[in-house]
Amino acid sequence: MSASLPKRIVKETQKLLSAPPPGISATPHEDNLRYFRVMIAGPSASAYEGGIFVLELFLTDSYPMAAPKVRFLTKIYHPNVDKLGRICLDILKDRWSPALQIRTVLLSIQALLSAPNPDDPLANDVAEHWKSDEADAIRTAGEWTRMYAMPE
Amino acid sequence: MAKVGHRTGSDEKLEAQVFNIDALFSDDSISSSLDISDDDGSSSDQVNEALSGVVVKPLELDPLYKRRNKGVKLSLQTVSWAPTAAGSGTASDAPISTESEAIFVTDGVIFSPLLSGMSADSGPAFAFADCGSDSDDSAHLDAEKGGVVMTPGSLAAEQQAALDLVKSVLGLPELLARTLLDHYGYDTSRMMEEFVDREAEVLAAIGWSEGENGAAASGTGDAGASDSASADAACAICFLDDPAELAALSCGHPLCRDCWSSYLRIKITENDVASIPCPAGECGVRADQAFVAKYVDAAVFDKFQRFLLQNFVTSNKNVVWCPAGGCENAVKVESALEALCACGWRFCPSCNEECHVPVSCAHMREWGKHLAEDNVNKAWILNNTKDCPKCGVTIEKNMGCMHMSCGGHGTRVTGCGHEFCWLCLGDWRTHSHCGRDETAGDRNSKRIGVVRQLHFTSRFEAHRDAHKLELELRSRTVANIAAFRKAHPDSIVKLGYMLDAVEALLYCRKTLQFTYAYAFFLKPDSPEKNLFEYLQGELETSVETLSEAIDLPIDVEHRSKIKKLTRAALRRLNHLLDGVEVGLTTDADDFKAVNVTTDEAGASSGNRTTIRSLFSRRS
Repeated sequence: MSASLPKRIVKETQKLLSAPPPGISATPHEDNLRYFRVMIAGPSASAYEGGIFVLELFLTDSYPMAAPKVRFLTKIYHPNVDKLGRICLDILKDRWSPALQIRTVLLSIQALLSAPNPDDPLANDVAEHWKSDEADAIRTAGEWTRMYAMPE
Repeated sequence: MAKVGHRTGSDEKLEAQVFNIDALFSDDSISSSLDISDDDGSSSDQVNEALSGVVVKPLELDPLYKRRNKGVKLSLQTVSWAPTAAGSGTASDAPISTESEAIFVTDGVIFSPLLSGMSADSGPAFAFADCGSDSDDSAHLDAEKGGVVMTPGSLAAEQQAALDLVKSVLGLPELLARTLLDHYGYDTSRMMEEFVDREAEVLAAIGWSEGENGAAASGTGDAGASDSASADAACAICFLDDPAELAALSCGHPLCRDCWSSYLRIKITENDVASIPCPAGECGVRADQAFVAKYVDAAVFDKFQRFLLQNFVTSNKNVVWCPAGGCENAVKVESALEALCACGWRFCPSCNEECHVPVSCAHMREWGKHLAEDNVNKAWILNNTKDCPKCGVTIEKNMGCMHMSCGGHGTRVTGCGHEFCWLCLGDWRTHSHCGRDETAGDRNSKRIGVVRQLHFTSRFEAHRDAHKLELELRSRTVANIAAFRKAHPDSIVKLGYMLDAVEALLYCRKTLQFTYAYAFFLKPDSPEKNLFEYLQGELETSVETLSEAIDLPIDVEHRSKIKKLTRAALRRLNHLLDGVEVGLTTDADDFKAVNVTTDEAGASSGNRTTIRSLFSRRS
């Protein structure tokens, strides 16, 4: 346990472990308490329902003054997530506020799965697909979910 | 007016000065002052010019001006000195800025800032003081077109004046006043009118939250721990729960001192100073200056204030930064096409490029495309290629035979395959003999286009290069004046006319350069273009004569001649610019708007009006 770990991170971690938000789990790495392995369950009534999406989350030294770094490790077909799993989410960029927490970030990502926003895309081809034929795009997203986000 | 949109109370003095100058120009006493004869008898020229509506300030205005402005404590000596101080790049404070502001509402100032630019590398100071007092010539360019130069010090004062006005009239806290003014681009009157008419809407537009107003008005907004007295209060950032360490804005969301400090520092470092919201939640309450001052150190607070000042300029439609490298001044612009900074850089406040009167910004952008292409390449293309008479593609003749086939070489088929004669450009199959050669190619409009473009760009560049050389002439003249003073310590002849002449020359030369961009966009063979080219030619002749005359050792015998040449050049310059502004002929369609949208065309005609007021205030 790092002695220099700020009180805030300790408290946040404790709360995440003791009372995780529904459908979300976040566990710090045992060697590095700033590195979290996150799992988010695909929200019901979305193309991602039934999938378990793994993400990594890292708290930089400037956290909470700067946003945590988060990315999907599971492949996902989503207009706001690119091939490398990077996420286009305002609170992870310019709208970050130090009063936001790991918990709020993860809840926002979960909400993004429920409501993709093709008008502010990160993955252009996916966003185009979404805009031109949403039903087909959702079908593809569902296929990807079954292929990559459902453990045998 | 030198102070457009200036309504702040603290600058009444400057307003008053401006009024004085304007009063001078409308005053009947000017005509009588013209009778005060110049020693070389050139006053008759001035009268003529006055009658013909050309703006040339009579030399007698200076004493007149001084007399009328006794209360302002501004001698011409200080005028010539102030820009030196302002342009030297030292940290400017209020006294300097006051002077430099005064300069630009004063007659004869056009030289002062330019001189200050020169003083760095040449000439003893007394020479400038001397020129200042020697502004006895009528050839002054109009000082007003440059706008008012503002140093960091005067900017802060100006911003504070606007804030104070709004605070006192509407009784608003500083933070709200600043936010409102930022939103309204420091158009104080419009802001106050709209605020009074529909306060709720205006507050909503800037995202001002309920309760923020009152709480912030009551003080710094630092509610401290007492406001958030609940026992489980903790810093929203680090979760520290020691009530003694906590502080909050009026919303009561607590942060500890350390977290406030780092939060504010990050916001300020990121230049996110216009509104620093409470970091906790969505309350939207903003931190004001007093609050910020409490939690950041002096260096960061200094930066905070500098950024606020930058916001002032950025959001203020009438003030622009001087784009010259390393210059920290801003200029309150009077013309959409022209601004002159105390550092000597004359620029276009609309596009931040070098001043390009009389051409509009839109046309300059178009012109830039033509310039950007390499002239050497163009000349080569012109000399070594011809355009296919059928499809217009440019063809290089790479073999001896005159039988050309367009693009028909091997697999690289780029042309239409048309077969023609290189000499006469006639169809190869039907042509029998051809004596006509080069001129035949002129049938091709694209080729004409290249020739035409080359005509304009080469002249544009020639004048640009000449301007560069004449900048050296300026330093040379200053040195010459100093040398003359040294050689003739007893001479009482005033030599300011030499500097006037150089400045007029530089100004005309620059304008001449851009007239070639302007002419490029005129419809070929139109009456408008013919007249424009006539005036351009006149100006060109004057400029060349003047340039030659100046570049001679100083001879007081030539004084009258140089003065006359200077006046003639400025007169022709004004003719040209006036003509451009009102239209030289009645056929308005002759001005071919190339790739210019209606909006931009409208803007450029608006600019012309401004130019008119600059160059012919008196007619």
